[in-house]
Amino acid sequence: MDPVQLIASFVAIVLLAGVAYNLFPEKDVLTLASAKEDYLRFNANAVIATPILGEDHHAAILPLSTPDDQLGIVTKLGDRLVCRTLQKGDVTSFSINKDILTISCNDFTQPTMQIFLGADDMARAEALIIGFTKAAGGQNAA
Amino acid sequence: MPLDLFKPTEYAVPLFVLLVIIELLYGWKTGRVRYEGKDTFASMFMGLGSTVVGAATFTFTFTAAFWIWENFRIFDFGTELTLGIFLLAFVLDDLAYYWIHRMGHRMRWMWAAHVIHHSSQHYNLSTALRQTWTGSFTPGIFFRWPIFILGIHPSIVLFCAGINLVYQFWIHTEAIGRCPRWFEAVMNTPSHHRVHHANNPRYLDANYAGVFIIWDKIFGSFIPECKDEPCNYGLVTDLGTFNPLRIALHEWLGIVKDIAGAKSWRDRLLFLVAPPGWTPDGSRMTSDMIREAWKARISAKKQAAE
Repeated sequence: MDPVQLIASFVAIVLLAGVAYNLFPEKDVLTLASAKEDYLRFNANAVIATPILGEDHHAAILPLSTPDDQLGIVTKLGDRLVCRTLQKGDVTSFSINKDILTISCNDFTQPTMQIFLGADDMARAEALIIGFTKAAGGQNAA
Repeated sequence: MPLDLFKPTEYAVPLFVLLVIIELLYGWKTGRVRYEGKDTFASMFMGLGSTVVGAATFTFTFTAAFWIWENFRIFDFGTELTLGIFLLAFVLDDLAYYWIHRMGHRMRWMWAAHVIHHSSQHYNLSTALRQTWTGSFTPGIFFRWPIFILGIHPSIVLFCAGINLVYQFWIHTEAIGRCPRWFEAVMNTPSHHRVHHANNPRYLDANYAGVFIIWDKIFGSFIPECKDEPCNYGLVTDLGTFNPLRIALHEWLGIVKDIAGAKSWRDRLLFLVAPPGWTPDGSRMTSDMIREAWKARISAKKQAAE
């Protein structure tokens, strides 16, 4: 393939994506209702207990009462939502840096997730995440 | 030797760009179509990558096709592109495409390449350009061989395959509702293809057609778009990234991991050829299992309401 054609194509792609970015700014924010709705579409048999919503409305942790050995996570990707169900041992590590909880998983398309939380929610989230972390346990950077 | 035929996809690129711009502006004005900058970039970059990889692997795939045609053809349709040959080749290629595409959803090895096209949660013309980088590394390349064995020159078949791809561009849109009834009955349309890209349990693994939707009707994979159930686009488990390398390779990596951890050769083979989601212990769900679970939920709801 002609390198000039390749570069011109790349520039055209960047320009078009830039136009799309400007014409369609991200409007939707994650709410508890939208997180629950999307997660139940993803995992229809789940019963969600009291969820934890990130303060920046970009991620939510959904503890499940059924099945109680799983944990739901909903994150925003652009203006769409991505759901994950964590099982025991799925979290390879996690860290807490002030108000940011970073969860690392063995997931090639979503290796880390970050959630901004207040002090009370952080304590609850940490207690939940520990239960799903590999035997080595989490690392608290705070 | 390749015949001197133009490449339809190369000539169509300016039209693709123009139509994307028109759809962008239409969506901005009316709100009926939604784009997203990073998603658009990822889709179009995947398209560019697909073109580069396609150019790199073309010599191999064409040489193999030409060797088959030269040594094993039953009839000799010649090397001239007449209207009759074109129509025959186009219909046969579309039939081959149907089975390539169907296997692309039903065999994990082929799904590893095709999943890229379904990895956007958006459905617009840029999604049409989100094409595989690894299609040449799957058994999909064998599905057109019967046409070469029949005696149609590979250049003519690949020319038809190019036109087929160009046709499929315009059906990746929410801007068009339904086409005239006669057209919907015979041709693949935006409505039929929205169903194909939806991850609602009702719509999974349906409408594999390229140009003629009749193949789905003949082979029992047709599902019409239902007004009561809007399509939700993307994968059953959506990707959490716009990174093109992760988009292109994630399912291949999943296969490698599963095969490395498999306990028997049977399981290793099935991780390659069984439907996506298959596991020896049933711990993940195939599309059939998802649909059955959905049907069971619907039936339980009905029973509870009675």
